[in-house]
Amino acid sequence: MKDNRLEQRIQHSLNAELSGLNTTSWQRNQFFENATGGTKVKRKVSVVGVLIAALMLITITAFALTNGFGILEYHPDQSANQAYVDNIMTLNQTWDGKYFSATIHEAVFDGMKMTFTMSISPKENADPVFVIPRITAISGGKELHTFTTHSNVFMDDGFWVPCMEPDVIYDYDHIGVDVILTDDFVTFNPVEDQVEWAVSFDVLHTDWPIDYTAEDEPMIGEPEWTDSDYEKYEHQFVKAYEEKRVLLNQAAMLSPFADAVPHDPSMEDEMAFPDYLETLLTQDAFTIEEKFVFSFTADPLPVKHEKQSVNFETPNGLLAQVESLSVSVDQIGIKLRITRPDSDQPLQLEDWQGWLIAVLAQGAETSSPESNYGPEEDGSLHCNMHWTITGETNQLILIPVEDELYFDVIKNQGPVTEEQQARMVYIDLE
Amino acid sequence: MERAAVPSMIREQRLNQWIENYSDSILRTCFLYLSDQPQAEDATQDTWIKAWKHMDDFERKGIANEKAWLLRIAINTCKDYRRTAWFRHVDRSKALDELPPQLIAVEPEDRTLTLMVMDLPDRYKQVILLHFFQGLTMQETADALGASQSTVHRRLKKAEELLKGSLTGGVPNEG
Repeated sequence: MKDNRLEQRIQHSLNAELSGLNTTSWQRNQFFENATGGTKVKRKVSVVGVLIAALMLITITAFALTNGFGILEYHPDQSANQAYVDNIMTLNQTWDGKYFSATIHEAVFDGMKMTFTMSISPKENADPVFVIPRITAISGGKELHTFTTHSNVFMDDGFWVPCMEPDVIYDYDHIGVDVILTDDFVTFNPVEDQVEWAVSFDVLHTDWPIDYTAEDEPMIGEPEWTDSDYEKYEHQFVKAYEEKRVLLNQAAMLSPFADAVPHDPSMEDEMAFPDYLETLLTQDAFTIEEKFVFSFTADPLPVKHEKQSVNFETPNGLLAQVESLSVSVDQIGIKLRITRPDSDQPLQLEDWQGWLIAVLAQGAETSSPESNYGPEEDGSLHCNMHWTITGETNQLILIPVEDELYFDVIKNQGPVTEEQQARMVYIDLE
Repeated sequence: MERAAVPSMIREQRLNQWIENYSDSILRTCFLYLSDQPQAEDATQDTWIKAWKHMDDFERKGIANEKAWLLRIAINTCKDYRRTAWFRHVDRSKALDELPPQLIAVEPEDRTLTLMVMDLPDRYKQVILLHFFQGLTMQETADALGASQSTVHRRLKKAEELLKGSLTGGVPNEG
């Protein structure tokens, strides 16, 4: 059955919100005059725009010193962050394989997050290969948990070289990857000691012919499949495996094919996904032809923590307790626990809605926050928030603000209401 | 055989017609992409400059759907703007507040859903804007984005997942 509800809701909401945004006949005349006269309209440059232009000049200078795709091209907003820039390591390690060559250009580690840049060049006329990456971090002889939080290209579930996804081109010349040290995939787990990083790649090759599914699982706006449709879809992969063909879905993903390889179902729970994928793929269809590792040792920059226990009231009358707060030259990470001050009634996800925390840093700029949150068994809500910061700081000001006033606070660099003033928290860092 | 260039008067008439018919659609799409009315107006102007400049291509390639072609130019123009502008501190809620008064009653859930669409990663926002908002077919959306229909399908599915996840309080949330 076709489900149009979301489509209709989107249409209605966008049309309602933008119903006043129309061009005037004068504007349309101007559009015509400027287009046919070839006049480029002067961009409306704000003060921020001017600052950015200045920043870009600095960035361009920095790029000139970089051999290949550099950290500051991936994270240009850190170009004026001297401690961050000084900590960038030039690696320029190249691996030249049978199917492609790869170079890791630069890396930077701030004690909480490691970023690296790399590029991959497929060899001419080489067979396509499937690459499974792994990133490990060892400090003091102990392996630390890592989690890839962002990348512009890198696919940590494996990727094809060259790209096999129809009609899609990935920019393998400019790959940037952010990896955090974490206990639970969301909270920063900073270290003070040196970390040995290893970015390894297993290169899998198949002699089996490679096909694509004729169709993928139904998408929005398409009729939903029945159970038998799904069975038929999954059977394609089983049949392909039996016929010694590798079958890819339209996104060139190998996981549906791997799932069709006979295996003990408990494997999926017991193994990390890259290990699960590689084990099944190499059972018959693929062989690991090459392996390579880029390794480097990185000294962390000092990570600061809050000196005292901090609590504050949220704009919707809840109590927030800062369970941990870590600040590097690049990241601010806060773990909060939210409770009701006067009731045991469990909090819902909706109780997080409508407010967030503006962070002002002495001597540095901060980004908008990114957050994730969820309910705890004891009825509280946990929340992890993190911000990018553009330099070192010794003091933070947390201002819990209503969503709609967030940018007023940022613009004002301080509270804009008396209630915000009362909620404001100063945090000295040690 | 290559077709002759379109005579100037016909080009002008066509551009004028396009500007009358599609300026509002393009302006709104650019606004949803850029979250900034002045920049959206600039992007709309640049879209018309590019459309004028490339009108011979439109004719030569026998492009059937002018709206899809124009929206493709608009999306690409917005992408260029995104590369050169500072969007970290864009306040989408405030950008909506600063728009001219709405002509249709806006409910709180309209604002929520609009902000969610504006917050989508670009690749998902593009398909939502073109297919759902502008009403292009799957094929037209694919043509406008220079992608295959299956790519558009996949992105729509993912966009739907993201929006439904957010509507039901899903996590994580990028603020």
